[in-house]
Amino acid sequence: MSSSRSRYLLVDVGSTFTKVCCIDCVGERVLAWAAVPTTSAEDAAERFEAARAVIGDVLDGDETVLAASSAAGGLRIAAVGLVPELTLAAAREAALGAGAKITGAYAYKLTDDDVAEMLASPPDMILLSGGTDGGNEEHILHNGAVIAAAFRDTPCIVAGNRTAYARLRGIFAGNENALFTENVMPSFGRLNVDAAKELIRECFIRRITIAKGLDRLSARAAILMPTPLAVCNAAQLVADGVDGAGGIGDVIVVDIGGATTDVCSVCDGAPDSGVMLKGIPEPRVKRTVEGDIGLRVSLPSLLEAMRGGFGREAGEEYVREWAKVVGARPDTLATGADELRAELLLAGAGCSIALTRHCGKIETFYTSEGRAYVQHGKDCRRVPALVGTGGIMRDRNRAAAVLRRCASGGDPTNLVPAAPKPLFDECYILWAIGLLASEAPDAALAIAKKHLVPAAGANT
Amino acid sequence: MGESQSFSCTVVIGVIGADCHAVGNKIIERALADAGFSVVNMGVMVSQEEFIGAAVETAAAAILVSSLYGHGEIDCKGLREKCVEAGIGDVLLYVGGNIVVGKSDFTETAQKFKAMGYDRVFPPGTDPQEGIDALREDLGL
Repeated sequence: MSSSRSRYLLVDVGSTFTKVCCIDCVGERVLAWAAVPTTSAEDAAERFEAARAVIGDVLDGDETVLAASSAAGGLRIAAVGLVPELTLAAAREAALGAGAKITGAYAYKLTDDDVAEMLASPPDMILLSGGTDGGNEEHILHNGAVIAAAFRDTPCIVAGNRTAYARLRGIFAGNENALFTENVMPSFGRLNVDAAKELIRECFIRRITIAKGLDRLSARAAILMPTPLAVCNAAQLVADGVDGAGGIGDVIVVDIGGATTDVCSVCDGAPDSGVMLKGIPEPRVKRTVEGDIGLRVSLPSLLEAMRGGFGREAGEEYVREWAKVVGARPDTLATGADELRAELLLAGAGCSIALTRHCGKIETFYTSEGRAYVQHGKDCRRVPALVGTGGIMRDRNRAAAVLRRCASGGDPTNLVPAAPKPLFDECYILWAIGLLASEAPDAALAIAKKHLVPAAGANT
Repeated sequence: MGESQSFSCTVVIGVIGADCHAVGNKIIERALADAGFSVVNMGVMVSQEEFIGAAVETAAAAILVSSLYGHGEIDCKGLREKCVEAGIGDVLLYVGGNIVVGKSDFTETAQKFKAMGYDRVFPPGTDPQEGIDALREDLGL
């Protein structure tokens, strides 16, 4: 366990921007912050140097440097499991919770077509699950053999039926890319993702960073995790505090960017008494990522997703004009009242859609004893705080306008927060807080609470 | 990865269809657990797909379907076929509860369910011990 130092330089190597943030732990404050756009010509180390140069006069050269990365497409994982709603769902939760992008999710036995698909879009890692402990062995053994033959050089995290492990070790014999850990669903209906998440992170640090051209950066910074994991860690820190003290309570963080929107909820989400839970119980810290919801690269698919619930808004003239501008120049900034209004409307709709997809649902069934209620996923209605992060959330009024759209809108089947207090990440440092939390959690928590500010503003 | 552990025989139980009766389900769970079985209790309002998913993941030896509200026949039909499709065509299927509608005698009901692929059919009021004895006999325990 590292001891905490007094100054940290935190860096996020992104695909569009590289951000740096210098933090003074003793004074519990942010000393400087900078973001430089990425050009494809630079490698991660060069991007880091460029960003560091911007805040150079604040640095004393003695800072501990920690890095998160979403470079080169981020951490890409293919999930393999048995029943889609059971062990495959558990494997997906583990991979998403580790900050990965899921390139494919494969149920039952891997077919030649599945393998061809994986070869066409090669993952950085494969997460192999299937069978409860003592349960089905047939499928995980079959899939292990397929993976051992077709993906010799791809790290494979095995997190399934442990009674099959002796035979699986034989199947992977001599292949040091196979790493074994606890079953993501050791007994029926019980989720157990923490061990798999941690092994994914370790594997990311040891092997993937080299593959992604981050090795030059690793000479200057400790690369600790994929960026989405840093944001989730920050959410968890803010909610739970350090050693259970100082947290603000359950929280949902929405991170809307140019290409994707991540949602991370920290809450149990258990059903009310009298409501039945169906499907696997979701993890307390749950992450989803919507690859079609974003304000630049994904704007066309966001407009598509807005059909139905936000169809009228998507059809407005000023929104369509703005979409054309963005399509022509993706790095453009909104200027003028109409463009800004369009941007905020789209951000609000996008966050609302992402939140709806993330949170649970309740269905009513009519039985011979009257109504019965069935819940899938987490009940987030009573989550008291909704945090917005991302470039668009850096302004109090803008954040308020966006987060206001995320309320439940009166749909009783949708278990999104009913009346959350909206907060926003005014310095866009949640990712840095998550990184810092691994070494200096107390300072990280104090700084987070200073800079997660209530969003309130005039109606737009 | 921990010491080796012997896994007892797994049985999946639950109440099928839009049916909320839970008390009998709890009694059966208790009796089976006390008899040394590893019980996966799906609860109430369970669909056929849920029974099968659980049986596949846990490599269960038997699925015990309870139905108490009289629509059992409709809800229970097709389960054996789905088991076959899911690769567990040999799993033991038992059905029991209030599965008789109206005044038909039980033999007729039992034949109907056996024709649907259930290995054993139990009338209302069956003692759980009878089910346990049947399991032991059928599984050679």
